Amino acid sequence: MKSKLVIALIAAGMFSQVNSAEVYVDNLDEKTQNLLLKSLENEDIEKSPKVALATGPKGGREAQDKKSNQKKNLV
Amino acid sequence: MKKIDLVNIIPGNECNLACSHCANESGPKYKNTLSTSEISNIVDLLNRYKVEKVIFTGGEPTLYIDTINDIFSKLKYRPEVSITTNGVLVLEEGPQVLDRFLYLDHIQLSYDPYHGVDDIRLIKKIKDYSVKGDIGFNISYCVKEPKDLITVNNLQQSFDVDVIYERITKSGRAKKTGVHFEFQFFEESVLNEICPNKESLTYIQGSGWSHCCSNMVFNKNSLVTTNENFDEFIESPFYKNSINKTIGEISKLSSLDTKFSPDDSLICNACEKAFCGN
Repeated sequence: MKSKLVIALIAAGMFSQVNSAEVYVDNLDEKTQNLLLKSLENEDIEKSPKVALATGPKGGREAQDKKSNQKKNLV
Repeated sequence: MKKIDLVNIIPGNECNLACSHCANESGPKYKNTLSTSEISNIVDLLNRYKVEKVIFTGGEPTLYIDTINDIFSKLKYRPEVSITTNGVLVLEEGPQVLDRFLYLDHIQLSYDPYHGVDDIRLIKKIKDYSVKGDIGFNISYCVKEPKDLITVNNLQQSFDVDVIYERITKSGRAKKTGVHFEFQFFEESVLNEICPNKESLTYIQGSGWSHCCSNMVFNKNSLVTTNENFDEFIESPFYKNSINKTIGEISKLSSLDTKFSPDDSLICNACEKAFCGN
């Protein structure tokens, strides 16, 4: 399970190096590891983009992009 | 700059919350707002580039509705408009407060444990409002550590809403409070990254234009990172180096013998270190 969780954390954009993710996972209890892996394996969260830096800590670019697809003909 | 995809406008720092992770240290004590000349400056740039996407943040944008509408009333075209809100005013006064925005196409609710507003009715209220008005809606969730993604997943499942997440950088109040994403090791791959904000801009009330929306503009440093004059800004060494050079190249250029720490694994933290040193 540990290796699966490490891969999932990297895929989710939390870390880019295996050793960073491994140390993090090692410090979690087994129950949390299970819960986290279950959450990360959820299809929705995989699709959920990380916030682009374009709007920084206030977020928003991907959300905007998604909305663009449905954009109505405005004015 | 030939094209600007997106402009993020910070009309001021007034906010009904003072979150421990706030990137620009907004809070109730601030009453600053855009001046007439700043509004003209913003309107001129938006009209000039016909920027398609405009995002209002803050501070809290629902405390700046009149100012924001003043900008809209002067535009010669209709951009796609988004706000990033903490939703507190919606809880206090009801979602009809959002009707006061002249234009509103998307609501991003900033919702996470670091806001101190643990009321899920808020999510339902805004979601219902967005569905009724055919307005886009998502949640933005700040992540201090990976296990926060358990809550992200729960929110997505419970409310059937997109939740986008980001790792908290050491910007503004987050740098002081320690509420930021932590690493055990320095991930060197960040040295090969380049700021992605080449075609995005932020206007910061009282400071001016910048492509930076994080550490370099919100943490005090000696470099000039903003300019009221957009044309001058895009000729500045800060802008040119930032969008053309990797973090590693910037670090070499600044010759500051920088020692990167584990938390510099995030590009905004590393960028600040590369430009300003330890």
